[in-house]
Amino acid sequence: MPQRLPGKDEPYLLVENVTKRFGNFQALRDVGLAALAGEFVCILGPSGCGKTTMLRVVAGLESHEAGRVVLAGRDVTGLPVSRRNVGIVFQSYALFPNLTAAENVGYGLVSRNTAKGARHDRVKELLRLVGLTGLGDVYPAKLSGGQQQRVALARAMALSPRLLLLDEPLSALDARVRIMLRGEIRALQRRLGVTTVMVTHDQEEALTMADRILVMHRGMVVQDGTPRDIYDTPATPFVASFIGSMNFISGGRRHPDGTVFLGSRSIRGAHGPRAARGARDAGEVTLAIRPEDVTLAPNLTDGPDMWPGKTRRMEFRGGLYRVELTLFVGGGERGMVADVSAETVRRLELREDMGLSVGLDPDRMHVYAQNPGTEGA
Amino acid sequence: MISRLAVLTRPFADLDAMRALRAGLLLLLCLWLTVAVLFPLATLAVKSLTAPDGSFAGIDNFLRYFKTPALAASFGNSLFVSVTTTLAAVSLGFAYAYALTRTAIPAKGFFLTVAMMPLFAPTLLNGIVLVYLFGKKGLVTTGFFGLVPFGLDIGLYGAVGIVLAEVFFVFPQAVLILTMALSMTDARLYEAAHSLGASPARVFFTVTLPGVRYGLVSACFVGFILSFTDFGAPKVVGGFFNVLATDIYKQVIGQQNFVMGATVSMILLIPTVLAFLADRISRRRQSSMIGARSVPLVPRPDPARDRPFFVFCLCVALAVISFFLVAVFASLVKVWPYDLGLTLAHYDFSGTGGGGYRAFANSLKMSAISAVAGTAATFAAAYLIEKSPQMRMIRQTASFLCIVPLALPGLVIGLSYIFFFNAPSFDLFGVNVPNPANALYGTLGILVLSNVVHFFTVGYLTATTALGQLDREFEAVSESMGVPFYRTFLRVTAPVCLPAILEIGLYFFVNSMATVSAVIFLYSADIPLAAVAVANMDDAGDIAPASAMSVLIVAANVAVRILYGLATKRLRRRSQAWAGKG
Repeated sequence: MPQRLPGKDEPYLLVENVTKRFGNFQALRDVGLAALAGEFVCILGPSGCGKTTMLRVVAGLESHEAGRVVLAGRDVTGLPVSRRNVGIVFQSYALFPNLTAAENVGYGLVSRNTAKGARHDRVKELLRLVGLTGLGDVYPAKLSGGQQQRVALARAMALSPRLLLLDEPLSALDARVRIMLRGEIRALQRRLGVTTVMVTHDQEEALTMADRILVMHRGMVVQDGTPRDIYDTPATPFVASFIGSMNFISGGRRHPDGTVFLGSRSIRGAHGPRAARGARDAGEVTLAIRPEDVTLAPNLTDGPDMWPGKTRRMEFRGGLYRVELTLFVGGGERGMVADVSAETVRRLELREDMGLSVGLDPDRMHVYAQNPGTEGA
Repeated sequence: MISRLAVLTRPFADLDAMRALRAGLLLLLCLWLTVAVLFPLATLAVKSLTAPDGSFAGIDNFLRYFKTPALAASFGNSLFVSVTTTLAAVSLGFAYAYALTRTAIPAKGFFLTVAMMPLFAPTLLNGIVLVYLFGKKGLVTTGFFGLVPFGLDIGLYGAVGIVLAEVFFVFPQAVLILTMALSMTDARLYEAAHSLGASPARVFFTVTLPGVRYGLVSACFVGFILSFTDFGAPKVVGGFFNVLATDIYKQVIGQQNFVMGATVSMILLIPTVLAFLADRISRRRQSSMIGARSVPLVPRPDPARDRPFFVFCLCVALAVISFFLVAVFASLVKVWPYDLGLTLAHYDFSGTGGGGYRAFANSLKMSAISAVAGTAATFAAAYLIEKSPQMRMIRQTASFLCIVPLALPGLVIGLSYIFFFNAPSFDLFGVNVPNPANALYGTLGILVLSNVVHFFTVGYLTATTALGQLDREFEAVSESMGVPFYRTFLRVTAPVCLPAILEIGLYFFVNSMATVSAVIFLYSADIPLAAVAVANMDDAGDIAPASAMSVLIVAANVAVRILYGLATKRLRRRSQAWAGKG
């Protein structure tokens, strides 16, 4: 059938204004998502944020009250999963235990009236694709977790779906296998060029695998951007603390002219602190900086961005140390942490309870409205 | 190579039709349960509110029941007997189950098998064996025919006999429930208690008992229901001690007083339903008590504890075995107690009523059909209810209807079926509606239907548990690949659940063979049944042939149980490849 496929810069998958409730619980509030053809999009968020519901709506496994889903230029809203041509890998894999790996992979092909020979070749090719050549006759229970995951992936790809949906595909695996499979899934996805949406609560997974990340919180999309964007300019304190770690320094003030003060000192710099949305008006603000952006210098080092401070506890983390600090601001104290290399610790001869200067680079600082945590609610 | 992947595009199977098919099947299930359970029950209730001349009587029948001292006494008798039975059977069952789960005694498999033996026998046999042991000319009463210098007359006929027979009947159920409850525990709790210096007694009262309290409660209610509604044992050893179950039978068969039969049935039904509801509630609590991270408890040997428990189990097992030996022996003795020579004459059944081998063959046929039909119905029902997406309302309704039969005593089912299926037409608000179900009356079909309904819930719950252990997403995976649900059902769901399916089949067969309560109202002279023959022969005083027929029933059940054992063994070997690691 003639079908107008979306152009290069038009989204291949478009989800708009989707709303979904379970009884009194509002699972999704007006969420949207757009993915270009071949793009790998991650939906990231804590448990209960609605990310899996979102995926199931895209799959057609869950109905929704409002909004629409467009796939490959065709409105599929209201169509059941069987009509959407999507491949799904579930968190539990849902492999059929009484069928071999090959039978699992070929399960959907059987009902397609595909010729037996072609089916056999196809299954073999898929198993090779996921690196399971020779394991076709093995039952799922005899395969390792990582191998089961690959069978599930091969099965999802068997019918050449328009869209691949991954629901926390790596969460059941141990750390080492997980890291290995991250790379493999991404490489396979690139090779096949299949548009993919993955749901995860693991920020590292999202940062390493995705072309684009959607951060969800309480049923809403709070930020949508590349991994770099999300990490470097988190839109809300929630995003900032959910992805990586972040120091929040309360008690800042913004003057009507835009200058931000901490204590009696203004935070100067080439560009000044980035103002996150909702914090542009004058008034109380919270400043934020990532631990790895905090620099340490010998006590009483002079400079516009240097603040007096003191070490409290130091935590050895292998290649680096996490140093808990007390920052002296005006008459008060603020607690924060810094990640510094072992080399810096040696050079400064850092010990616990030692006075030092703390550098807060204005270019690396964020400004949020006063009450972090209430945003995004 | 990759370009070839895209060649295989997918034509869409029409899965909207599949959803409609599922919904249709669910509706059909609800409709069937309504016709087979609710309608007959409603006719029974209406009957109990109707005067013998057909006019509306309100609660007059019930008032009359409680004003007639001979009738009202049965209610108290029934309560007394079943409470006593429950206390005794649950105490014994608890000790037995404790030995099987929390001690390191040998031969646990043997003990469990023996404890389940009474399930294979009609409860009539419990009474018959007691007669041979403690009756006027019983083994014990006569001091083993004078072999020992003294006899012991326990005054069998009446409450004593009924309680003994019912304890024997309830014991396996109590052991089953309590074994389950006692094995669901977390070894960590015991390790914590011991590390905190708690004495064994304190551990028992603070960890063990609270852990199984819902299991105990459940065993008590099940024991109560079973003994409260049983008909077979009081029929044989009740004597002049009337209980509700025998009253219903006497009213209906003896006096043809259907109205009073219906009234007593309703009176029997009310405490049963209350106990049933209490049991459902306590079971729900039990299942929420154990976390996914619990570590199973493996008892360590402790001779001071294990030896007494071993002796106890041995005594109980010997009692059960000798019970069946007495049944076999009695069926072979020429003329008890005067000529103890052995003969197979009682297995001839020619001189007695009841139908003989024709009845036995009918029972085998009926049980086999009930097993197939019951298994198919319960498993399909559980599948549709558990594994259908959405359609919450209809699924919950169906699930409720599937649980209802468990609350219905066999006598109530049997009697309500008479009322419902025997009526050529119904008078609904002045309109005369012919009754299509009437065609079933007096056929093998109604017997099978009554068995399927009678034992429906246990099969349904077994299937639900088995299905609940499958991955929730099988259906979603299949649907996403455009595979119709019945293909996944046949290719994956049913094969994986085959052990449970066989178990359900065995349950239906064994119970259909042994049951007498529902079918005694429904069998016709053309289709005699073995268990009914036992009752009739016992009625006629042909107790030795009655015993022989019971032995045949037990033998058939044991044979089927052995077949089941062999089948599951083969199945296990075959499925070892995918049943798990190692």
